[in-house]
Amino acid sequence: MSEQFQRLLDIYGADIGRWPAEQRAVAEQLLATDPAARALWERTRDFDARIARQLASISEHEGQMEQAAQRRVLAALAQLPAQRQRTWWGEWSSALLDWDFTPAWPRIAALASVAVLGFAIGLVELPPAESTHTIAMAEADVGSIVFDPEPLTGLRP
Amino acid sequence: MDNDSDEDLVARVAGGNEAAFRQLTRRYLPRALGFARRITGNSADAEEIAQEALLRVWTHAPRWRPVASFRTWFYRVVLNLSLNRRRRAPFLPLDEAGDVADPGLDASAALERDEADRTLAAAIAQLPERQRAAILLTYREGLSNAETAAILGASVSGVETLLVRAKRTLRAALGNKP
Repeated sequence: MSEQFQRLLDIYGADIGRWPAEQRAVAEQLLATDPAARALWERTRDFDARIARQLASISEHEGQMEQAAQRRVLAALAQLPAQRQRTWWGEWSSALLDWDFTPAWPRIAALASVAVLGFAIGLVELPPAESTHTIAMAEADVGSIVFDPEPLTGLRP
Repeated sequence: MDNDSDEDLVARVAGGNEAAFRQLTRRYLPRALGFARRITGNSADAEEIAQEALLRVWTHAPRWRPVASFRTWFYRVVLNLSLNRRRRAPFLPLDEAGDVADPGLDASAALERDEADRTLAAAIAQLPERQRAAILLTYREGLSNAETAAILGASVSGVETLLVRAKRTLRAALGNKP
């Protein structure tokens, strides 16, 4: 039970008020009746607060650096380029452009799907074994007509 | 204009309204800088990323489609620019142990807490990038798991798994530190 409760605490955080209604009701009952669950919740609350504090913290030096960075970015954006206007032919191409900024896995998945599809089509389109044999025999016959020696004289054409 | 929603401002930016763009910039530049710096571990990269992301807001606004909230779209742009930058350059761990000691604590307690905070900062910086992004978006930016999923291009259950794994790693790193 404690492992499952810890998992839910990790997923939704120690602020039970932000949990989905169903899990919140169960959690509130658990906290009211189970001292071990309450101790786990208190530890998680302190842990969450520590993470939040750490992520919000910034040293004086970093603060000054960030202020300077903000000023530089604002100065760089003082002169704005022309906007890209919306065009009827640009609708689907802009979707492709946006797609470029997504994580790599959809593109990899799409390429893998195309490769699998090509492989499957290749397997389906292969001619049966007999016809392969027929083609090979036909090719052999052509070769014998062109290159085999004359049966009587032994001369090659 | 201070109370206008992001989406209202973007609609005006789409019409070429520079004042609306400046307002969006004031709102999002500090967030973009901090978020990109935490992902890339590099202040110079974060500055370029924030500038590029905001420039895209201006240039792409006429073609922006409100299928998601502006905030989700913007964080996705910043995240993907940051990840692309990280893949091109080796990661430098953050040197960010500069948490100011709480004056209410005595000296030894403050030292212990500083050590634990340094450990935590290093552990966060060493998380796999998607786990770190999930932690940053939920804790630092205060986004829901669903919004985080939209930004990461993952399912909500995928984000939940990222959070569980990240917190296990962070707890293990902290060990018995107070």
